[in-house]
Amino acid sequence: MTLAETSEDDLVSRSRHGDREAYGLLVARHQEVAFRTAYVICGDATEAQDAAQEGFIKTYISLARFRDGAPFRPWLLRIVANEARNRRRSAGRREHLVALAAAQPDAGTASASAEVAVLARERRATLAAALGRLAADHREVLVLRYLLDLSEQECAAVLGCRLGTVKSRHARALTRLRAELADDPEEIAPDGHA
Amino acid sequence: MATPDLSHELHALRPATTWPPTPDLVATVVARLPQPAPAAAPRRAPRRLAIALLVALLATPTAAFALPGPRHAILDALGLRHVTVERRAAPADSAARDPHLGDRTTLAAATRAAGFVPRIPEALGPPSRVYVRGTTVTFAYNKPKPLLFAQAIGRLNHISLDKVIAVEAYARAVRVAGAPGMFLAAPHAYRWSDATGPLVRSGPALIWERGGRVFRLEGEPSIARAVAIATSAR
Repeated sequence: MTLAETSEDDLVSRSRHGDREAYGLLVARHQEVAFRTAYVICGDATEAQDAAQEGFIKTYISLARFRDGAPFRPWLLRIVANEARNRRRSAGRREHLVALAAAQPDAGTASASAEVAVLARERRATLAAALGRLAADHREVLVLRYLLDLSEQECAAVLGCRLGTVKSRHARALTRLRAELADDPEEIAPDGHA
Repeated sequence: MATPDLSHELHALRPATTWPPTPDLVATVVARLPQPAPAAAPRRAPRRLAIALLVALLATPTAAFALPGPRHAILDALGLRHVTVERRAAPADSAARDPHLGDRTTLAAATRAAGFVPRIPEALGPPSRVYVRGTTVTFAYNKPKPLLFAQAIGRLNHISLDKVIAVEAYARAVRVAGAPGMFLAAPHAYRWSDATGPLVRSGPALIWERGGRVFRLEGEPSIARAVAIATSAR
């Protein structure tokens, strides 16, 4: 078995004992989600890169405290998110959201008619705009949950709160999003049609 | 909780989301990892990893012949336990000029594919291009001169002991930061054991073993400069 085929638990164990190659593989596996998580929080690609890089190094240092058998990704994302928050504060808390659906006119509608594709694009743009109007804590939990596809446990790690808090914040964020859509003249109706 | 349609709409945004390109963090992070290791537990003894780098010296005019016995004495004396050397009668004629480096890729993708984090020679800096073929990773450099820097980790059962000859007359033994190596100034051919391509023609090359890994630097005719580059690959 090559190192690339090694389980994540084993890679973590090897890294803890100083195997830099094993840790390099962990970085390769998780750098995308780490970078994007940092980007969601600090809203700047350069700052996000620095946050992810520092997060990986601090995670390595902290492996001595890592509990055997625990999932590695939430541990990593918590540290990366803290780094990103520090940079967001130092950068004047720039409120910035990822470019959303409107940038991808044909996403998910490759086989649809032109009319359906246009409607789908408009729906995504409306939803993205409403998401962008939410308060930062509501927007973050929805972006992490839906656009980054993080688990609730991982969201809790990134947001630095309990699992129950994530669930309640998630529910409130969706309620708030629904209200934003209701206020929008191009509201998305419950049946999915404009 | 949200109504199912709103959750569905949010999920549908995911493939339509445009993110900034993810930077390749592997080399930078690994280079900055502090010593000592996070835990004080002793590192396990390195597994005997073997890669067979087949080097066929082209400079000999003699017919091919094999000396099955002296291989261990000769190459072990050099310290190159995972390299085999054979003599052939002018195999340059049939050696391929295409180096068969494999697929061009990123450092992160090469790390995942090869199963180890490639060492980067600090003397050369980040490579111009990265290739991966099997478990062999090759960096190509354009400056200061065209160079190839390759590395691989193999398995014991891949080692080849065929057609081994004395190499002292054709290869100069060197040490790379205390690790064994040899410098081949004359044109020769080589093939990584996990590659399926033909023997490839090579210019001057330095080959060394370090940490269970075989390295190969091609294109630097000066032994001193080649060793300096090799030493900087940590």
